[in-house]
Amino acid sequence: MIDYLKNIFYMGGYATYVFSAYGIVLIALFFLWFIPWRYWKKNGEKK
Amino acid sequence: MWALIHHFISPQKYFRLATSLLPWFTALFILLFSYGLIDGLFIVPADYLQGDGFRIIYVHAPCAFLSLFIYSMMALAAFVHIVWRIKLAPLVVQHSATIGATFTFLSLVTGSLWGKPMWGTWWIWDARLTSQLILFFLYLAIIFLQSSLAQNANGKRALSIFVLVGFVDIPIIHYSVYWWNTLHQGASLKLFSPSSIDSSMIYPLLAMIVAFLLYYAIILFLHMRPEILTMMATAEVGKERK
Repeated sequence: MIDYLKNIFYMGGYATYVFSAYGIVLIALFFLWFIPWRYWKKNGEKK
Repeated sequence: MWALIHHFISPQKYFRLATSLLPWFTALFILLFSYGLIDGLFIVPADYLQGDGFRIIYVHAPCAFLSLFIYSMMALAAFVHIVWRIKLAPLVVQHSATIGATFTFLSLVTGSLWGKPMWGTWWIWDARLTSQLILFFLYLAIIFLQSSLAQNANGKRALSIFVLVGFVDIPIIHYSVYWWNTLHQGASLKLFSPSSIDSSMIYPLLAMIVAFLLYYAIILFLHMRPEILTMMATAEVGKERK
């Protein structure tokens, strides 16, 4: 099990590149959703 | 016919339709995105040449596709605004610009993260990369011009013309890999011929592309929602005064 996880997180030596790419995209997707959602919660619902 | 089109793309109709579709789109997005993410990252076999490094395709290709798709939508909205003066069209241009700029930036960053281990460099002045960088600058120009130009009707029309002129970059980006000798590979997915990617790898990619399209629809509505409500309220006040 530990070897399996190690292999996954090692990614054949490309882990830094692969997980950085996924991480940046996930962060951007979150903020693109969160900013208008927070604005709506603060101001939009009153309208 | 035109009356019917105007009727269906009125702010009220759009707001009602988008509000009812929002939970369905969100659920479908979560489903497809989870499948694409888990399958692409952990389950599909490694590429015979690029090893596990190829897994970046599952975020890079959808971001790049969306950057072109969003600009095409903006150009369509700009055209609709110039010709038919539909009220929603400038809103689509305005809010899509930020989303499009984000996805163009993401495609450049993820491409760079893919390029370093595969090509040995973070960046090269290759036709595809350069034309994609120009697209990013176009998005930035539209965002900055909005604050100075889009305050009145003439300014909005000028911005729409700028968006339409910038559309010339979209076919250049798409065909750059065929017109010039580029380091960037050709299209992995093709509409009218067999794709160059193995079927075991293609389903999560398709799922991610559809998920990103749904995400764009969701985020665009969330960005436009307060302004549509203001638009509807102003129209109501106008009716009452009459």
